Amino acid sequence: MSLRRDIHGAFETITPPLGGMPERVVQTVLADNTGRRRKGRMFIRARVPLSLVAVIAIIALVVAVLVGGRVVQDWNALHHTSPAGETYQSQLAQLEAQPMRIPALASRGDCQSGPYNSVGSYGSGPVYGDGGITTSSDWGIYYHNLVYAERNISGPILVRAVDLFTGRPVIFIGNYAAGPVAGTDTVNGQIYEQRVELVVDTSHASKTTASHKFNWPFLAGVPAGWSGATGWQIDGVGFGEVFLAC
Amino acid sequence: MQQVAEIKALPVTEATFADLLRPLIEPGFRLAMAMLHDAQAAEDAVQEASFTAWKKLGRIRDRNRLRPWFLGVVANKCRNTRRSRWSARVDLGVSEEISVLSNEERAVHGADLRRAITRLEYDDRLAVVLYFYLDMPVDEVATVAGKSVGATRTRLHRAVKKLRPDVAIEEALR
Repeated sequence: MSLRRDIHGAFETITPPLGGMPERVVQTVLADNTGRRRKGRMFIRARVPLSLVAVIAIIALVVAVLVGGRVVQDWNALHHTSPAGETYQSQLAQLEAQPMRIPALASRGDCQSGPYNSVGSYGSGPVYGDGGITTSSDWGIYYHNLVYAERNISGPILVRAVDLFTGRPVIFIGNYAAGPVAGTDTVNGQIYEQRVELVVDTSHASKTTASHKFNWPFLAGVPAGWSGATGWQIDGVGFGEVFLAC
Repeated sequence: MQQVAEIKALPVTEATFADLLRPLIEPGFRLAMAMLHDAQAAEDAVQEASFTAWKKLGRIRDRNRLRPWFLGVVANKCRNTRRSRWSARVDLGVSEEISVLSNEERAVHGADLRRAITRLEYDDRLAVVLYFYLDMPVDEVATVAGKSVGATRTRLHRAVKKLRPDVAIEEALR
């Protein structure tokens, strides 16, 4: 191996994903400029989200390890245990019928990440998303991501995402993966069905954390050769949101 | 030159600033992580550098030199951070965290390399990080470090010799 490659490898393993940091840094500067916050407070603010993200990521990983295999193996089980039964299924069908509202972009220069909430998570609410660490397979890369909500939301919440430039759907495996099967993949020695939807609800959320009322850790996959930019659409009963991750 | 002149004529609005700064955050954070080995300290360094950027951006005549200028500011913030009261904690934390995380041979190898780079003089380490990790050309590394190209090459040679005595210098610097 070359020294350059070794150094890349050595530092990349300790560098966490940026998440919403670029936007957070920029907005903090601009907020300071308008005099809304004082510098000292902002440094505290800048530190808090990163530590929260770290805590959430650890919790998400632990939860995924503990409950991952079983919950994910059988998506039907989730449906059978849905408290609202037919109503739930009907609501989900309505959400699935919603057209995709992710904008078509002409070039990478048109891609602006966001919107973000005040702590740098993706989304305009009531559901927000955070990026996480990656796991690779022969097929592509999986991100240990998280969606979360701060308030109770009734009914199913449908998450769909596409590569903004190849148009291929982002794949979901494991917890909360739902919808049509697009293929299979072996990740960390376990075979998963790749699905094109993520469906969550508050009665099947992970443990409440100090920062979030409802957490849904999940695995989102993109094939090798993806464009690096994805658009996300989250639809729930009475709300819908779209955000871009460029 | 025309392009520079046109850019120079643009006022630094909030939107302009945001557009210029956003792409610099990622390399800035990578640089700060490599220098400080602490995510919070690295983000703080980038945040502080961004405040400085906001104050001084209007004085940068050639926006094409913005990246090395910003990374130079980040490097200075990192240097100040290391000089502050908790720099000892950062240094101590590196090897401890790494030893916990190093459960595979590759991780051990990476940890050894990070440790070796940490032992370099600050300016040598900065040159190594910019050149080998951020893949910057030597002249940009020199700009960031505030040194001449010749001095920067000398630093890189010296650093490579310390890191990999068995590696041919020219091969490593290729």
